[in-house]
Amino acid sequence: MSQTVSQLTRQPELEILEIKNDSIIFILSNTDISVANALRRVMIAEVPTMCIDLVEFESNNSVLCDEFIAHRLGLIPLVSDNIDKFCYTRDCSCSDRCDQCSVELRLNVKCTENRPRDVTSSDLLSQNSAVIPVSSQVTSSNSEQEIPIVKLRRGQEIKLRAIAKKGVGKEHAKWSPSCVATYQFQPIIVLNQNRIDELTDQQKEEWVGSCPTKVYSYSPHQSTQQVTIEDPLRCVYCLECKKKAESFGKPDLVHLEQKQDKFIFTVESSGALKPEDIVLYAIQIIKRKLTDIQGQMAEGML
Amino acid sequence: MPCLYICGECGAEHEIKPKEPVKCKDCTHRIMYKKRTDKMIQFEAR
Ligand code: SF4
Ligand SMILES: [Zn+2]
Ligand SMILES: [Zn+2]
Repeated sequence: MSQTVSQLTRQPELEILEIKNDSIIFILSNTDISVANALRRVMIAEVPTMCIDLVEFESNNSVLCDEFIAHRLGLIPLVSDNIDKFCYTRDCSCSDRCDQCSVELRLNVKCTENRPRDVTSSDLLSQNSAVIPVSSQVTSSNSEQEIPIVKLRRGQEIKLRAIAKKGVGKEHAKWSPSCVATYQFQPIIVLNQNRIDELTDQQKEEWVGSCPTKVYSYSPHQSTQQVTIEDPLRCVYCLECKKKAESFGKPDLVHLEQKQDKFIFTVESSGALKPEDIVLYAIQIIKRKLTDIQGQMAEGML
Repeated sequence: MPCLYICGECGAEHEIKPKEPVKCKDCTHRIMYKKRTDKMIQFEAR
């Protein structure tokens, strides 16, 4: 009872290991698994983006039916960097939809040549230059990044109006900004070199090969002839190496442990948001949820 | 407005009334296609 609140609260820390165009790796420490999991789930399901939600067809005589094309359009990620400027259509003051809560995109392609015409995400023309298919961004203007929608033969035509709206991944996965959002515990792998030296070269090779994710490396042709840990982060705790060591009669050859208070996060973006923004938005959303609870509690106690 | 169907064989357009056989009146072909509406149709992209 003598502990004060400030002694009990911890200060979670976040250390960034790597930021790339489409992914971020960071370590979250000084906190509980529940917080780490909340962060992961919010990054997947509650960070909003813009996505095509309604499609109005004027004509379509391509080989794909309207529903099929509408579904494909919905899955195209749109750049959502200014998602804060939009509101959800259900919260908007307009009666149907307006510029504040939606963006209109048009697709109007007709094939007039004898060879097939690929209709891709770059044929989608947006009325808002900030909300465009991710492949149409200036940074990635190579055609490999274009997302195919349908192929047209001579005489086939597709003409439609698509309406993008703001939404979150828990309503439909197309709105999720992250492709992968995972965390792992920090693995602690300690090799017992004395035991390894007792193995024959063939056994060493066999033991290194027993790891499915290639955590260890061993090169018999080098003068050092050492078994080394190449990348402990690859470990998936399958314990295959442990079992192999036991089959050699050397259970103390390797020591494996998970450090449960450090979470190594890997977040990959679909391109809709910058990976670091996904993390920042997610933290903001968790904070807002907590403040909401606090407010409700205070109200309830009156 | 009559409902027109397109013949799968000769491409002619014919009206087919209720209880009438599904059959082209020119070439007797029995596969008739319904025409696509020229109205705008809306779908949810889900
Ligand atoms: S536990 Fe599995 S993944 Fe980890 S080092 Fe051993 S064999 Fe490799
Ligand atoms: Zn609105
Ligand atoms: Zn006919």
